Amino acid sequence: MSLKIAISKGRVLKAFVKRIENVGYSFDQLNSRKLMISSRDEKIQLITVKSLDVPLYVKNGYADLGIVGSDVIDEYSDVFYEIYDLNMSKCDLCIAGKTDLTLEEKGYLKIATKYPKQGRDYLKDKKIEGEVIKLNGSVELGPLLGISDCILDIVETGNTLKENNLIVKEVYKSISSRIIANKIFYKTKNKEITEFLEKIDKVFGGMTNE
Amino acid sequence: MNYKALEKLNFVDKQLTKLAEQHGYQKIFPKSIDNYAGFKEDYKASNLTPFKLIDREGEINILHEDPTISLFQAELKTDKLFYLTKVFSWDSKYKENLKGGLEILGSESDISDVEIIVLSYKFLESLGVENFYVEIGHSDYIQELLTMAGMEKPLMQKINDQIHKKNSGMIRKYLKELSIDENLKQQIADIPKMFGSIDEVVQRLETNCIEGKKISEVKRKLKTMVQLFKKYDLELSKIKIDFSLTNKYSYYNGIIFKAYTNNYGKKLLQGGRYTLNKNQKEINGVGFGFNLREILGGIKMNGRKMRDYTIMVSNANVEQSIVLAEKLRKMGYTVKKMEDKLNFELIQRIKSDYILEVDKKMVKVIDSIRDQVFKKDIINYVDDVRRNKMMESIH
Repeated sequence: MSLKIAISKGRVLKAFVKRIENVGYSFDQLNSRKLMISSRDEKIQLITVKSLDVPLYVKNGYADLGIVGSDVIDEYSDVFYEIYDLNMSKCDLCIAGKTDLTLEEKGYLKIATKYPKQGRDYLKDKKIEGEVIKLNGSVELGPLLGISDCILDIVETGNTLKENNLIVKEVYKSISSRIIANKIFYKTKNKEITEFLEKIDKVFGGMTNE
Repeated sequence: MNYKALEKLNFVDKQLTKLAEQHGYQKIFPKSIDNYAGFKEDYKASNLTPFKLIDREGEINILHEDPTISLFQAELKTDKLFYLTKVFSWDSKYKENLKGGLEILGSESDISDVEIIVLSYKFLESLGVENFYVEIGHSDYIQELLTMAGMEKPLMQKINDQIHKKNSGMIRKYLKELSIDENLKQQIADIPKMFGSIDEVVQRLETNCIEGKKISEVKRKLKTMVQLFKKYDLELSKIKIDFSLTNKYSYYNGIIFKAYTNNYGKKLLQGGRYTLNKNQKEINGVGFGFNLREILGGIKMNGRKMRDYTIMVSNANVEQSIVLAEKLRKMGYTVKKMEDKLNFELIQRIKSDYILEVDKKMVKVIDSIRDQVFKKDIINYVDDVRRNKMMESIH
């Protein structure tokens, strides 16, 4: 029985495949336009999707496992298992704003973000009154156009912030790619999943379930 | 809702009613809308965010997300009840759904816990869901191990979250800094792995050297439950344990359970033991509930097909059609009569498994299961159907 793994296209897919080739998984059709690619031994099948869709495939049982950043995972609660930290594609989820913004002085904080749940969690954690404005992209426009006081977004190099005259005010949490599992298939395909995790643990050395 | 889905919904309703009534449960009709004031405390304690409406008088009303809460507020004269009702829940936006369930109110016994779990099993069996299993957990097991470790509440919450995610790696990371007994650390880190058949898990519980009052009670309860399960006509291998099982409703405080089926990624039903307030008094209950949309999906993918018939009636064959329909109904089949002329377009539109057209002593059968069309003498055809039904019941 092969394991179906939903994985975000692009960098994550390339980095993941490159690493698991070292433990015997190889793929013939990686450079084709195929959205479902099986390993040569047919033990795993990668379903390439947009990162925001990975949890949906796993939650609804169209994939057994999913590989996606913890920024996306944390927008959901209790709908799948988060079983392994791949420790790759690392970055930070940060609060950023204009240079003159002082978070402590804001009585009411407006946050523009692609991550509304984590925006609300941030306000709750810090015990700050405020609101979250959900934007689907170009969140840097929030403070620039006065839509919000700050943004909550992924920061890798910081170049986009710099070009838009914004700076990191606080690192909220560290992000890395994780493996999530469908709650039912984790049980019914536990043998296959455990074997897979044991194998890839040799190259990722993450925080395995075992 | 399309014809097939509606048909399945009626089937689920029928099976639930039949099973519940056989066991002495009474059907009730919970309210969908209520005044918020009477439920404020229950909703605060439950983690639920009901849809609120302000009426003309400025009163806040709620559309219930979970019928269990409204049951406790109602003046019920029965302690065993079941329902199929509308609920409203948040999933990116407020959605209307149908929820069914079965509850025992007021009882705290192991016997009630077992009865509810057995009924959830029988319910899935009656729906023809194949390869399903019911998984049982108990909130006290986790709670006692974490309490023994003497950790602060925020850390306890973090570890609890990771247990539910089955992330042993993260649990170990959190535990690393704690100066507690290594054996206890190991047992906490191993909670996500505490799942499997009842025998396996009970065996592992027995070999654990850490003993606590609550853990001993969980062990005793599981053993009693196994003894009682054995007296019922069910496959014990379909009942499993998972100690990292959770329920999003925080009023559950003892046994919790969920049912799944292979190759369908959603739960079919869930339930457990809970405590709620009624007139400043705590009342215990145990029950299970299911979301119609989720359970229908499970039937579609794994379930046995529900056979049904449509008989085409015209002036020329009305009497024979009635007689044939009655014979099939007597065998338990659903038979719908249609006063229409059979044509290709109509055949495509009718979703029945069999379309029948009577012509004097013969019946024309359009069999969509085997993709066949044939004619047969009515008496012989009824005999064939009866024989096939007997064969099915034997298998």
